[in-house]
Amino acid sequence: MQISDIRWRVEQIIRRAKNHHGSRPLPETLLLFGPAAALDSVESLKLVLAVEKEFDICIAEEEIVPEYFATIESLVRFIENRLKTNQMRS
Amino acid sequence: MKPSPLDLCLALAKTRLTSKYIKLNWILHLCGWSTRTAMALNFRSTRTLRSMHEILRPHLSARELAALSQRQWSFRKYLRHLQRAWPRTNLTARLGFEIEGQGYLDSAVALGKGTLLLSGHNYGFSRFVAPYLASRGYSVTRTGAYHETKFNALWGTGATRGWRYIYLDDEPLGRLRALKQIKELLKRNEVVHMMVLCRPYGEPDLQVKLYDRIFFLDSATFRLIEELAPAVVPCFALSDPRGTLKIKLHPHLNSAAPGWKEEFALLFTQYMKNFPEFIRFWKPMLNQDKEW
Repeated sequence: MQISDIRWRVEQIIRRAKNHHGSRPLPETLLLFGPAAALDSVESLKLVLAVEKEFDICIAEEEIVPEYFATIESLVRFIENRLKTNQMRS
Repeated sequence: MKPSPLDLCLALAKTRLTSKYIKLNWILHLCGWSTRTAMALNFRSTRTLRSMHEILRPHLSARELAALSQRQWSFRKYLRHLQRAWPRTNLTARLGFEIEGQGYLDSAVALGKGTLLLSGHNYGFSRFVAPYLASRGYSVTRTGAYHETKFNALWGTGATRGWRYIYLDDEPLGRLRALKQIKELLKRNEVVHMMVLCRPYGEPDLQVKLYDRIFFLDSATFRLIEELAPAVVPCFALSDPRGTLKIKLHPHLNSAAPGWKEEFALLFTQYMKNFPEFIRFWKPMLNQDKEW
């Protein structure tokens, strides 16, 4: 899967989690978590569950760290790496 | 004022002695006796009960208010005593429990989509629900805002207490990890006990009335429940005048159906109206704190 495709899907998931129907692309550096973040706790849970479903991956609790979940960019890279790992395994 | 180390030592020694050698219903009698004495001498009673009096004075006669104050303070003392004594004595075995509506819990579990016991925060003896249900063989997890270290100091560690605890962290990713854990537990069809906070402002369908006061149940908790979609069993734990804890369970609510939030809010309102002695949030409610 292309990184642009992953990014587009993640954006759609974030829009669904926030019930937001805009068409403008979300900034790559948009903060997902924290006091000035785009998502609250329930929306962030929706995001994680939707990412698991959309990409058929399982996100362990110990993987929920700022390194992977700080911004859209970091999340997209995490998903890309995970998909690659899954492909290599299969 | 913080208690001195000597005060703490004396309190602990008293708890140990009373928990080991005195029947629990006698402890409630002792709490009632010390409360009556303190109220008669006006010893700390004005300060402790001020908020409740300010809220209820226009609605109750002096006699009703005095009786309610006495019950309220006795139950508070009893709760504190049970909490301190819990990790030091096998209270689950010794404490009298009565459960009403266990069938509702069993039928909710039978649905296979996870069961969420929902209680009001700072109301009644809800903190004893998880230990009791665990002693009856249910796989129970309680959620709360106490840090795990502090919680384990109060209740013992997971291995000894026989039920799990999930700390709802304030830090966003920590909280997300906690919510993910809850999701996994419900997926395994386990029982999770959650207590909903109240706030001075909120959504109309989560409105709760107590005499002339209006406040709201925390909408984020209800949004979370709708996302998790478990069977929601309203759960309230009270004490009878003999000190027996009564866990009252109600038929499960379908979190996908409209009106379920109002149904819970109405139930909580009724409990508070019928048993105001178990309310422990008079002061934050009076002060209109951020949450209670």
